[in-house]
Amino acid sequence: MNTIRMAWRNIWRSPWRSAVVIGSMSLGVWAGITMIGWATGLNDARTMSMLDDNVGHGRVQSAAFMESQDPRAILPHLPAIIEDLQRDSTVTAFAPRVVVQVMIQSGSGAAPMMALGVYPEAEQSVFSAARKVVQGRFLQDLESDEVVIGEELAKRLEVGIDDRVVLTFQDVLGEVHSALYYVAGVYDGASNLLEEMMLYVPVLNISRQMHLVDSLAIAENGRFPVAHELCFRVQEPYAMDPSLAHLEAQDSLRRWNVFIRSQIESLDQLALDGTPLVVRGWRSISPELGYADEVMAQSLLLFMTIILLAMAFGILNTMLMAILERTRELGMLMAIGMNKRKLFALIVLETILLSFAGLPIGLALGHFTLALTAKTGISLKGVEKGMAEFGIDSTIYPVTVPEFYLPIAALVFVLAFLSALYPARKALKLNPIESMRVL
Amino acid sequence: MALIELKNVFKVYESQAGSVTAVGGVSTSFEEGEFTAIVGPSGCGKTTLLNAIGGLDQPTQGEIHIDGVNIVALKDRNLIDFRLQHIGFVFQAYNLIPVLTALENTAFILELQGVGKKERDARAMELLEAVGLADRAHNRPNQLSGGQQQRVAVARALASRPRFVLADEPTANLDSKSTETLLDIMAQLNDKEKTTFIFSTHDQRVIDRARRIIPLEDGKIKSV
Repeated sequence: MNTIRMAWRNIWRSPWRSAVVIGSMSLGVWAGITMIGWATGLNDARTMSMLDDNVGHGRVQSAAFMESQDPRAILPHLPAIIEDLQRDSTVTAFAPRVVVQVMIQSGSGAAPMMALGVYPEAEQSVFSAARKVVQGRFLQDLESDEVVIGEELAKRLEVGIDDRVVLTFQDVLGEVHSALYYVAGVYDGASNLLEEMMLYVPVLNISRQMHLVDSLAIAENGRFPVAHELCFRVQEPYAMDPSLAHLEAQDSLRRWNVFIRSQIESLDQLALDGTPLVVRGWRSISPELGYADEVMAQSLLLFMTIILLAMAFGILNTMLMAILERTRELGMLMAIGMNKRKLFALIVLETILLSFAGLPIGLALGHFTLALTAKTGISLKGVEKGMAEFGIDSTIYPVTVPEFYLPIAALVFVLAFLSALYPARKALKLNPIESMRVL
Repeated sequence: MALIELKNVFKVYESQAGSVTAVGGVSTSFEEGEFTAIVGPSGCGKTTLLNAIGGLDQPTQGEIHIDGVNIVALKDRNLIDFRLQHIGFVFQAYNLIPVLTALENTAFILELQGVGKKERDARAMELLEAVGLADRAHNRPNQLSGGQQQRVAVARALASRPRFVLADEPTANLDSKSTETLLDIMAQLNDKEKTTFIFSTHDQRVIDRARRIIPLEDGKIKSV
């Protein structure tokens, strides 16, 4: 008869009481797991929405552009880089972009903006904001004087389709340049903030106005002649680190780094196109999304701890009752020679077994609930509008969270151990003779 | 040298109403193989004296030597181990562990001593056979009668071959038939295993079977 078996049998001396404790532990773990799965699903949806909308899964930029947003720091040897991206099976779509800081003006107001010079088809293949045009249409060519702005900006500037706006920006020669554009479309972004800070213009038009490229370069560089950055999508954005390592090993990125360094003509040139190319994942591009994941995981574990802490008090109470009921027996055990270490182990084991009995049930129920709702989704129609503000669909698809099961089991173990300490201390303080007198 | 030697043992309980002397200067000794009854009316100090001999209760004064070891001077931790290794206990209310079978209850002390399962089960079964309960080995206490439970308690007390067994009013809750059976078994084990038995009792049937009687009155041994 070992201590574990004895502890297990002791638990079932009051089957109903133990069943209630095990049941409440199961429910607590179920509730916690389900809540974690829903919250993770919600957060994933928000993250994916932001990635789809305007962040992308990854970007290639020159280090110079990344550091200073210097408009002169265009991606060198773009066709070769694109060729490598196209060869990479993990990359599903890419969109080269020119990024220019501009001031937009209408008859009603002005606002500082980030103008994205885009290749429309490529942009729409990567970003949903370019696809969600609610008025007018998206850009159709590379050279027109059309602009697509966000809904919020349209309201603020009181402009609509075919209205004129002026974009003012500094070209690469340092000259301030103004250009007239017509509003071709209004997009619905993931957030109001995005709609107020980002607009789309045809890439070649803005590049020419910026003096980023000339006709010769356009002719030489084929389909995508110029870009400050190359945004791309991968198959699994949550597991994209291997993709990044893979990309960094691609020929163009390695070759051109070496090539450019060996052809340094001046320090100024080095600063512009001699610096290494940098491939970044979305966690690096938009650190707040990555932090949100980490903060969410920690908050959820904290929440789970609070649930389990409440459970622990229930277990502590149950064990105290058990000790009280078994005072005579515990006294006898000490009288016949059970030492304090073994008695302590017996009570701690009983508490841990009682706590752990409900754990697999709760985990299984939670996993099942999440697996089921992950397929059907949970509709939150009542808060649809508020969620849309954050670019989240009103149907949440929870995810199963096996990565939490082990930490939860560890939490249950620690809390069970802690809740056993007080009852065990009470038991150890019993006097055998006095205990055996208890009826 | 005597197996157990008591030297001027006192046990005084302090209370708000004043002090009560439960054992008042008992000096006596017990030899190996004795079958002795400490007798006297309720409240005369029998159980207190037995508890002191068993190291369950600390005397207020005096010394108790078992195999030359003064157990009064032992620390609590060492005393528990001493009880485990040297003393068997039979209690008035049987005090079996309800979640264990008769076999497991009998083998429990051996498990505490760290004896391997095969060996302790063999010894436990041997003792259950000796007390006539081999066929009830896998029954739990609530499936046994009071007499049967006390026989299991005797088997448990003897499992580790202790130097002596202390039995506190072992027949108090038993009917005549069960008492006779139990006394027969203990007498046989005393003969066969040479185990020393010390009872506290006021049951005449036990007194009649005892080979030595220590009469106690008001916490002192009464001279006969």
